[in-house]
Amino acid sequence: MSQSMRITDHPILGADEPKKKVTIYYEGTPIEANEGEPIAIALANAGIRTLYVTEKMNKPRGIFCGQGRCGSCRMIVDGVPDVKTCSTPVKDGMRVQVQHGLA
Amino acid sequence: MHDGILYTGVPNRQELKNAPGIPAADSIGAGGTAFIECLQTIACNPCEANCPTGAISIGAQISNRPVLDAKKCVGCGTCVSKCPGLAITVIARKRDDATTVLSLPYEYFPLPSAGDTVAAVDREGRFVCDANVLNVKPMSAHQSTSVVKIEFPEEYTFKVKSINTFHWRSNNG
Amino acid sequence: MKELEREILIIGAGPAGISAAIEAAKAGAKVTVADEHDTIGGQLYKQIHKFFGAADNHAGMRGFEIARKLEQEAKELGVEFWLNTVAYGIFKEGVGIVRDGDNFIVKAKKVIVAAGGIENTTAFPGSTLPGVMLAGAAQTMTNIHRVLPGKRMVVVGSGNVGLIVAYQMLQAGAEVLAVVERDDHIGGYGVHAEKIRTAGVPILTDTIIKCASGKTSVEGVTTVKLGADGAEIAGSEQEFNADTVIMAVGMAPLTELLWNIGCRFEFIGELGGYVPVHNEFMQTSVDGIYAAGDITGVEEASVAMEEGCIAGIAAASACGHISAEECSARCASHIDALAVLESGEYDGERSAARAKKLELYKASEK
Repeated sequence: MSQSMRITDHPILGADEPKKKVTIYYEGTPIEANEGEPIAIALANAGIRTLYVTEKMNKPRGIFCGQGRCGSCRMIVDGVPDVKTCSTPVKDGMRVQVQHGLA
Repeated sequence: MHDGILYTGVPNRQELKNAPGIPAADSIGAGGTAFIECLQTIACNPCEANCPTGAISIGAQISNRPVLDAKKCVGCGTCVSKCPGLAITVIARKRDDATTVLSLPYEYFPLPSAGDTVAAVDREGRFVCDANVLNVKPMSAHQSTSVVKIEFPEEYTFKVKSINTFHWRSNNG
Repeated sequence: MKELEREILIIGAGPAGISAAIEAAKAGAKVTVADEHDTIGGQLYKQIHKFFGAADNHAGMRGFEIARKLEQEAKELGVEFWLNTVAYGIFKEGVGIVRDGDNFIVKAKKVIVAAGGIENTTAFPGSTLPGVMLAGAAQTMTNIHRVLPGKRMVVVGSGNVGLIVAYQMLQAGAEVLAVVERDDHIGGYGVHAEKIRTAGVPILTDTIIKCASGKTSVEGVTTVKLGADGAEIAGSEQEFNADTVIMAVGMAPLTELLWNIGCRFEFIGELGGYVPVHNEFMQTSVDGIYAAGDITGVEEASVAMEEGCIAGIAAASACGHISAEECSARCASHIDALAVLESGEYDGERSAARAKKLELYKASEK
């Protein structure tokens, strides 16, 4: 899933309004994001699905509940672990890293 | 195997026959008649509330199924875009040139344009025949639903339910 | 700890909570609504389909349009909203909240808990892979943030949520390969099922996901049919080239806050599990604590809005803004509306469940 997953036009919601763009860094790689959208959404748009890796079994995890309850999307954001990226908005220049276990 | 709406999502012959919103085949004229495929008792009544000629009755117990009075229906299609379940079409039979005109609710992109040829599909999404798009009433604001009017040979009158404009669905037929 | 005083505190800014706020404010009460999310409207914003119900009461409107209307109405009435605010407990001293990183105890005369529901999950080999998600997540991504969760989906569960999410994925431009249902029949409304069947989506009953496979995210899904004994039928496996699995396997009331304050509960399976007993004015067994919406049993948003209206009117009356007679008069149309919404072949059993809650409330009063 390399191309953008954005829904530019929609039969019910209409055309997407242009948003201000910001840049976040996923493991050092720049990713373009819409200002104010959750981190996990910006990553999903860029085709990045693995956000967390379990400690013992080394299993990948991604967006699951999408509303800050399950913790499956927690990442290290600007050095802080356990940030629920499905409900934390991006900020320009933010550095996000996959979290391994308790980090 | 069970058939019918509850088991397959596709109504069987008996269910269509028993629906009080579905007009008898011989009462469908050239001007168009609503075909209300509302088969279950669900509390809902915008079709009745919006019908300008009082052709649809549900009553105070709004989980009743809508009853169509085909004589009062003028085929205006207001109910087609108002039904939350997208369960209503309008069928018109133009016997002079052996074609049927179907107005159907459509909430997908791309919307076809008048003059296009589109794939008409049955209740299982299977290709039935090519249909000619006569007219498209796009949705105004968010609330309403687009209504697409298509024409096709009359032999497919009760078989055609909708159209398919998705590229990936073209291999279903 | 810092203390705040409010007249009526409502927990949850979804359809039930805002409806309660509007009616309480109309009756003259000072109302504050707290919600852990940053938007007003709860799950209504994910709902881009048209609602069923009575034409004179939101039917035909889409969920997000109802949310906008309710938000505007509440704001015009001067309702105070505390967003990004977590209510973590209800105590004798008041409601514990965290707001802007600070702790507060809110002393409110009346509290309406409209915390909503939580989605159920199911497990199968591969169900923890990225690309497997709950229907709510898929709807949030698609309908709010406008990013598709994938290109080729399999949906688990054919209740209304499963059928609607399948339809919404089609509308957003994704391919839906199948809806699978472990029961022998479709759980949701026939009209929702017909929409996706007409779009060419198969609904596979008596079928479960045997596994989802993929190295770092979903690359394929295998389904299998179940026999009459519930066992997998060997050789009935079907492979789908899916990159996403969406789970829509029911919901349960989000009841912790009400357990915590000692409300009386009853297990009612039709409503999603343990639900608080309450009277016809949505008053729970704990004085001054009201409940409305999915927390009292998982139902449609239209039911949540009616319950919210009733709770809001009753709480305002209990604060002395309107008389008991006026309270009954204002609630009457909403109580009637509930009876109508809880009728029909899918929703009829819910009116019996409601009667059971009212009866148990009465018994607990003694």
